[in-house]
Amino acid sequence: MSLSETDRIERQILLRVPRSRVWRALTDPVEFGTWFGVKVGGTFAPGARVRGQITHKGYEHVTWDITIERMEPERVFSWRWHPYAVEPGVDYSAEPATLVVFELEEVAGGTLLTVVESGFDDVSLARRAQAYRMNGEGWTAQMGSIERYVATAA
Amino acid sequence: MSIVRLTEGARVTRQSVTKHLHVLAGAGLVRSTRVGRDHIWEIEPRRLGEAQRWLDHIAGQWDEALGRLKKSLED
Repeated sequence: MSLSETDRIERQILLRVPRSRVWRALTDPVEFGTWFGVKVGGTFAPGARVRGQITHKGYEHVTWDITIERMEPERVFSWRWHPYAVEPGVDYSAEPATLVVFELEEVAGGTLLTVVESGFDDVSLARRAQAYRMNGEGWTAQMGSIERYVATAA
Repeated sequence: MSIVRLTEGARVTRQSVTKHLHVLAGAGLVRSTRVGRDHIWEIEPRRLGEAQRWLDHIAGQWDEALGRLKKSLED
């Protein structure tokens, strides 16, 4: 496994609307929350820590917690978070966070949006495996918990 | 492979490699077998496969979120 295969996720999508429209959908907290699935408490600004409540049915108790890095209008929007912060009572603040970077590019037909999430290798393999076995029921059960969480957090 | 091989060319001490290997062993990600005086360490491929599946799962969640974004903008 090369570093790039395990350390990052990259996805792209063509959106048939102008770049300014996409930027608004990403950085207006109300608009963002509607498609992402979170009720955001606050506004997005570089350096800001923003929290919210997941709105997906059945998971309204899950808190969403990000620290914004860059906001370059209509070009780049990025934040850090813990996508694996699923266990109650565990303090994840000392753990390495992953970085999410949205990039917008004007192309024929609309806007090309790229999202890259990276830093997974810094989340130690041991920490992940430990988290997955916390219930004592093994990987399968914990994968289910993480599955439910990421299904709502994304 | 042995600790000696693992640390060859790397800027880490044998102690730190050993320490990390024991943590990984505790998590079931590597195992060791005694061969004479040495411990030979091997990756547990099934566990690493599970870690990769987790990554694939998060990627799938991004696909769904981007799908919702596209639908909200284009419909």
